[in-house]
Amino acid sequence: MSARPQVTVLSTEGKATSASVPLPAVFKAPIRPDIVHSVFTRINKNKRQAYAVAENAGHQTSAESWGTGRAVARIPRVGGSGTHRAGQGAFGNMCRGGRMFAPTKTWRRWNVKVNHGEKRYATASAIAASAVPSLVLARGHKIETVPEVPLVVSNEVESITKTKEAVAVLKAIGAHRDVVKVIKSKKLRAGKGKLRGRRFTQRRGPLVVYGQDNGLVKAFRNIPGVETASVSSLGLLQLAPGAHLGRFVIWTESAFAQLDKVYESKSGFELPANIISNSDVTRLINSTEIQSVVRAAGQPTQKRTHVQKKNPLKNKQVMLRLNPYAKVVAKK
Amino acid sequence: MSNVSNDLIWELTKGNSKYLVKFQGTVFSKDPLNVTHKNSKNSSGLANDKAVGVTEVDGKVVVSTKVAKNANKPSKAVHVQKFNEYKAARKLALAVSNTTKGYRDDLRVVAVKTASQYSRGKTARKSYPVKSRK
Repeated sequence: MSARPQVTVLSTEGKATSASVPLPAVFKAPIRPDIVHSVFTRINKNKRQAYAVAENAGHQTSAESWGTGRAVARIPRVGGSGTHRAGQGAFGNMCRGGRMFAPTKTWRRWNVKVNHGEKRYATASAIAASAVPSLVLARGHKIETVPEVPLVVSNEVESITKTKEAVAVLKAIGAHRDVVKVIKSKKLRAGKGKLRGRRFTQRRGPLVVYGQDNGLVKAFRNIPGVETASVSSLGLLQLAPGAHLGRFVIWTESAFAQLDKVYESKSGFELPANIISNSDVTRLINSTEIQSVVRAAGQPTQKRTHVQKKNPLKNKQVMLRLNPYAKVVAKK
Repeated sequence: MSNVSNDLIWELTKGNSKYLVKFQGTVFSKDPLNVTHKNSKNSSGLANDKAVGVTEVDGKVVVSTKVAKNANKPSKAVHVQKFNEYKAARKLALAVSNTTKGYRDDLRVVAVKTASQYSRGKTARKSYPVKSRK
């Protein structure tokens, strides 16, 4: 492929237009799942809200230990009489009504600092992965009907204000199958999350990246699984949900064109370069440079397993194979 | 693109992908472009420019192959060939063999085998009335 391949721009009707945009340099960034994973796990912690048990939970009693000699455990016991609570153990994590072991505190370290360069590396990597159809398919997106990856749609999408029109565009560009997948995937969440405002689970659909919002965000926000983001604020949480590379991204033309500028404006950050220019191992092995250095392949040998062991003391031929001089000895 | 090769894609997808099925210690792939359904680099439909898949749709044996030049055009990336449901088993096997010939010779045997199993599954056994002695 040439250095900077062109990507065709699709109209909102899903037809290829005569316009095309050069592939931004970010898409050449190395794909590093290790960096993406480590950055994701740290960034993902930054949305958390503090929670803890009550500061005095389990300590709202004047219990004291009875000491030794009463033939009961030396755990603090609630004093008094007249209620069932009297004489029961208190405070300990093993006691009914006692505090928990190592009560949770609100001053836990909820947020993790992530180095800026690392975050940008991970984001660039995730953007690059979103242009590889195999990785997008492996993440589970339905892109079989999509005309091209990366998918760039003309700027008319940005001024769409009605969800009905937005759905029509998704259908036209073959991205609606991914939405259908999301709709079908909606399931009741397992566990307590149901009670905590996370009642349903569903897959992720396409991410629509825009340069300018002229109604696009509101038009797309009620379509299940579809998310929107501005090019200038692309984040790893949306580009690689679950730290899995290859989100299905729909770019508007202006967003795609701005992508280079966005990375140029990031001060002190240069796009990461690949360590090897060609990662095709077969190509490397079969290259003249390597083939001219390696020794020629020997005769193919087949490992003989399950062969009966012959006794050289009894079998003359086997003896000769092991020790050719045996012939001379035998003649003497 | 220069930053992506099939070797890299295989390293990225072998441990975790949509198609991976891990069941009782065995690992399989649900990839529609993976004839062997083994999770291996050679048979993977994601990490190969050329890959074969054999399925059955409405009684018709469907052989799909990847079009290498349309790698970044998903809607044109898979060539689908449907075989008539009434095609004789041997003719079907030959046809499947011919489509994969010179394309992926290593997967040809498996493709033919899978196609034949589908056609064999379709043929109804003749049933004879049980003779009863009078």
